[in-house]
Amino acid sequence: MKHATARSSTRIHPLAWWGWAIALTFAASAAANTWTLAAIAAGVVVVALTCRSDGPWRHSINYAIYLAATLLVIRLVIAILFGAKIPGHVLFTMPSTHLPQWLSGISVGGPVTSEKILLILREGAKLATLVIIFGAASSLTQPKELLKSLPRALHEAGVIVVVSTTFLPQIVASIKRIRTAQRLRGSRGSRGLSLTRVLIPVIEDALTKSLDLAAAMESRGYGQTQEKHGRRVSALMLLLGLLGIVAGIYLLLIPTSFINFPWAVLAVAAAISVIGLWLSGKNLRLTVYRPIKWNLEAITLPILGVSVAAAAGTLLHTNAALVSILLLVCAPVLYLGRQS
Amino acid sequence: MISLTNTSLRYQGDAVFADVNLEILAGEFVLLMGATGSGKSSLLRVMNGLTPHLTGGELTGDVHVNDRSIRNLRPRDLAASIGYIGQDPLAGFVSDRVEDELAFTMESLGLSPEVMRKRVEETLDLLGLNALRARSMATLSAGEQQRVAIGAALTAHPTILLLDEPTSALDPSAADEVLALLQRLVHDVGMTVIIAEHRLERVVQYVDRIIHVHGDGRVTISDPVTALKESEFVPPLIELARLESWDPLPLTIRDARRLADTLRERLATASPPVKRHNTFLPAETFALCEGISVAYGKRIALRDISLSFSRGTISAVMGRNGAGKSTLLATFVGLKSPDRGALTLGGHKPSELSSHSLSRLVGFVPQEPGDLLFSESVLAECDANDKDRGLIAGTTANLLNLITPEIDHRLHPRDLSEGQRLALALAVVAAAEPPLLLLDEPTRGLDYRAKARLGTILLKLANEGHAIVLATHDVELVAEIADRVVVLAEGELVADGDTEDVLTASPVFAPQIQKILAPSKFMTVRDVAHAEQPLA
Repeated sequence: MKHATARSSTRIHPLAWWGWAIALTFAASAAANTWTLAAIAAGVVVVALTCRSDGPWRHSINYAIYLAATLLVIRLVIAILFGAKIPGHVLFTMPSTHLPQWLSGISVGGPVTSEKILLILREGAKLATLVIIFGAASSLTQPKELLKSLPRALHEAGVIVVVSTTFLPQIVASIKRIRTAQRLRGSRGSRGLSLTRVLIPVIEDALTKSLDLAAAMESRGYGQTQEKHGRRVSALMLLLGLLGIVAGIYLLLIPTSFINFPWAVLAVAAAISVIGLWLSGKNLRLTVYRPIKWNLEAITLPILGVSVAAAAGTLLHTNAALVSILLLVCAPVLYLGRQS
Repeated sequence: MISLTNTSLRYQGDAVFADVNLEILAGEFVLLMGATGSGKSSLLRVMNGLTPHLTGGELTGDVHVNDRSIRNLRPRDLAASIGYIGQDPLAGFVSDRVEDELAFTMESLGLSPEVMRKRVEETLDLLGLNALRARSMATLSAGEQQRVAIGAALTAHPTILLLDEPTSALDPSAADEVLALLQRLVHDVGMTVIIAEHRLERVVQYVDRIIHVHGDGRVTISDPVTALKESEFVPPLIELARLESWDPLPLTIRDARRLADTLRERLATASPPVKRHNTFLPAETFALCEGISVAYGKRIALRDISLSFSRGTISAVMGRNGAGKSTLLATFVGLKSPDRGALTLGGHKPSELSSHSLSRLVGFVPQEPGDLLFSESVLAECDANDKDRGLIAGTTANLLNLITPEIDHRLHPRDLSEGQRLALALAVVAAAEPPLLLLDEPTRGLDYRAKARLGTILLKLANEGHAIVLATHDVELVAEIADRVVVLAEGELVADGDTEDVLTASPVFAPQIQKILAPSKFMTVRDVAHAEQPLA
């Protein structure tokens, strides 16, 4: 039975999209050439615009593009005004001033060469591409769907996050409502006074709403399956595992002579954490409604990402290579894009 | 199904109710009635353990649900057998999409994904919610929210549903839809439904029995006829039946129409109901708008509205939830300036006035009267108001005494009953004697006594020369006090005229008495009593 709902277009496992995006960030850091970066960024934008979800986060790609462009522009402006001089073809010359002796490292103004602009663009392109990839991943997935695919032990914490994201707009609405009502009381008082006048009803309102919500969640069985026994063991294991991971990272970064197997420490600690999570999840008789399954399309996404990374790292910088990278990045559009 | 044996509830020694014994049978549709603050909600919440688990208080005696004592159970342990829907369904929503909301209880209960999927689909069909399944909660109308809340409770397959004032926020047709749905659940699914409700005129015809919370600690359960015979709170239909001494007591419009044959004949020859005279002269137009349009982004909330309100009159603005009533009010109080058209209050444009001088022209009582109140006691609230508005000390307190003499001035505004809090907010707003007085849904949560008192106050204020505008769903209140009715639909003005003409022309807005006595134009028991007096 297939339901033609908005949901069907977002049924790709969110972790698949995130895997794809993470592989692409590797591709972006492997790419030495600005054109390769441009190809990756352009492909990501195309995929994001055609495959994005319906959720409120679908616009994050737009903001990411603005952010990336702003970052580039800021870098350009700063470099043109203050940057070091780079010899080459002079495009135009900025009026320059002589700074006092103690600021000799910084120059203001002076000739701007095309080499300088290209260098800045090349340096900025990597950061801009990373921003765009992150924006694309958030508009392709919904944070709430991602929460759904968390381990069961984190489910209740996830519910709290979801509840608070729906609760916040309500509080904002009640602040607006109460402020307008108070304004109509014609209060002439000072600003500080009117703040408490708004705050007290807002807090009272929020308290009433939270009690209503607590009553609703309680009567709908929230937290019903939490069992006391067995929680201690899993909590202890999680704590040990996390401590082990911290120690492992420390050993990895700052090698010591007496423990020279940091990877083993990390692996054991990670295993303990996973078992701890699994144990605490097992104690919960919780289920997830319409869990998102890993389907064939989802599995191909990280694979595609990894192949882009491999291609960006190994291919020569020819036009054919660029086109093939662009096509590889855009491939998800073929089977996930909107048929509209 | 549910039985209470010698159950008492006390908060800090004060008994809310004492030694309650009642038994509710499987498949019954039961109404809980009583004055505001009498403990209806508490009694409802005792049935699934929310009281005392969540609210505190001392509960003695025993409560059995499905022959099992719930003394040692938490409300969450009863989630699979009892569904509970609070007064404000939006405040109880956990997810942001309809479909996920329906599944929430089942996820907590740990049902398998296949079962959940099947039940969600069944519930969507049962409640006709399929078109809404992917919608976000915030975009639903109040009636849809109520239906989704019911659906979310149903997916756990409970045998009992508890609802606290499910229709108080709804317009008449949405309320009918929700009640019809509940009746269907009782009849087709065998659900036991218990609802607390003030607007008896909407509910009485559906229920099998009535639990009466008397407010003095007594709680009785009986069939509707017996309960209503003794009750102080009755819908207009029963009032008419009492006036005419009809026996047996009719509970539905249909029964009443059969009994009303002779009354209709008599009224056909009687003089038509007297209209209220505008005693404030000259009846000048105070608020005027011409061709105003208001939009929120792309959504047009009001389209080309021309209206005027005169001093000394009471006007009611009616229409579906979301028809633009609140926007119209917001525009008149200057909270929203019209995108097109002109609006004047006593010759001034609200957008050009400071908020202080605006508050001398127009007063607004919001849907939540608590929004206006911030002080620690009634007295402090009144004093602060006098200072704010530069009134002579004691003005607000005196007005409040005129409105409700028995209010305790030392109480915190939160501890007042719904009706008293509304009275306080009204006093705070009306103390500055603004010529235009607007009230948004003033009767929500009020019992008949508080509503009758509100009606008297508003009539008095109108006689003193205020132009009063109410946005309301309460047809009976409108029939009692309004001189004129304005109906909005999708932001457009669809009707504007005498209360009598507008209300009697629409089957949705017609008050109970008019439905019984149609085609004559009597709308209230008072009208009928007045017409009958010369004969008696």
